[in-house]
Amino acid sequence: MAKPAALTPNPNPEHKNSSVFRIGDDRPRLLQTFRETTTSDRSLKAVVFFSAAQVRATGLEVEASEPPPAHANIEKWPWLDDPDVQKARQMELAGRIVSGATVWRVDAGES
Amino acid sequence: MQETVSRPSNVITFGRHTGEAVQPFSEFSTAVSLEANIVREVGSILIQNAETSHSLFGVKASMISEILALVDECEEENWDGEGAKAIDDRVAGRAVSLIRALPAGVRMPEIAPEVDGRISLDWILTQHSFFSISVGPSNRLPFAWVDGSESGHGVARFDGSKMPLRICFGIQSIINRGYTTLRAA
Repeated sequence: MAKPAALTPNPNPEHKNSSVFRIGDDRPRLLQTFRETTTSDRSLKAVVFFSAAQVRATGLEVEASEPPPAHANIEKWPWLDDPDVQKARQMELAGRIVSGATVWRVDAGES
Repeated sequence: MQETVSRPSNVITFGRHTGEAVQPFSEFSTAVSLEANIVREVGSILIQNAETSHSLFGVKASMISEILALVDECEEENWDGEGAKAIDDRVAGRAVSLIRALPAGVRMPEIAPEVDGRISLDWILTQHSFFSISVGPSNRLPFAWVDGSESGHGVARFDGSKMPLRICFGIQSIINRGYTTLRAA
């Protein structure tokens, strides 16, 4: 299964959100999108699939943020005075989303 | 950092020497006196204990190696290409201390890097039942859990050697629920 850490937001003030793509289970397109947009030399290990409805059920929002095409951000994460409580709350929300998600392990060739 | 690298092999070496030192008492079964039998039994118990702690720490040593490998992979800023913070030695040290503090019998977590330079430790029973801790540079540990339709979160203080009770209970309640399900099946 996916881990909550895969979804917790980047706390950098420029981001404060989680970056996702609204592509669905179109694997060739997912691989192509990764190749075209990655700025790291790390390989793609896994893809987590979940619906926007699952995100909204936690009180968060999915907002389009193009370019690149189909890019979106998960917004409205809680930002609190206490960074540790904030982190714990974000972990719980991310956990609730991944508990309803499916995973494609790209490096293991699993489908 | 240097300390965390050297500790696991030191402990393994200690366990092996303990075994060698008591091995002769346990292997020789020709003694006939009561005292000899007692010595033999004590020797067997000592070996059993040494092997138990060796195998227990062997699991922890392997987990600690995984943490150090993860830190190597994420030791530079922007390791994900999207501005992730590097995982520094303080965070690695805290994660290693937490693994060492895990009570015997608690299974090892899965680990993952976090974009804010922390390390996530996850005890995953099923997709819908897991417990996660986020280890950062401070002595406060944010944690969260999901169990079916229920979920929660909190922050516990970790003194570097004793696992916080709230976290122990949290992990055990997720893992034990799995045992109950298996036993009932």
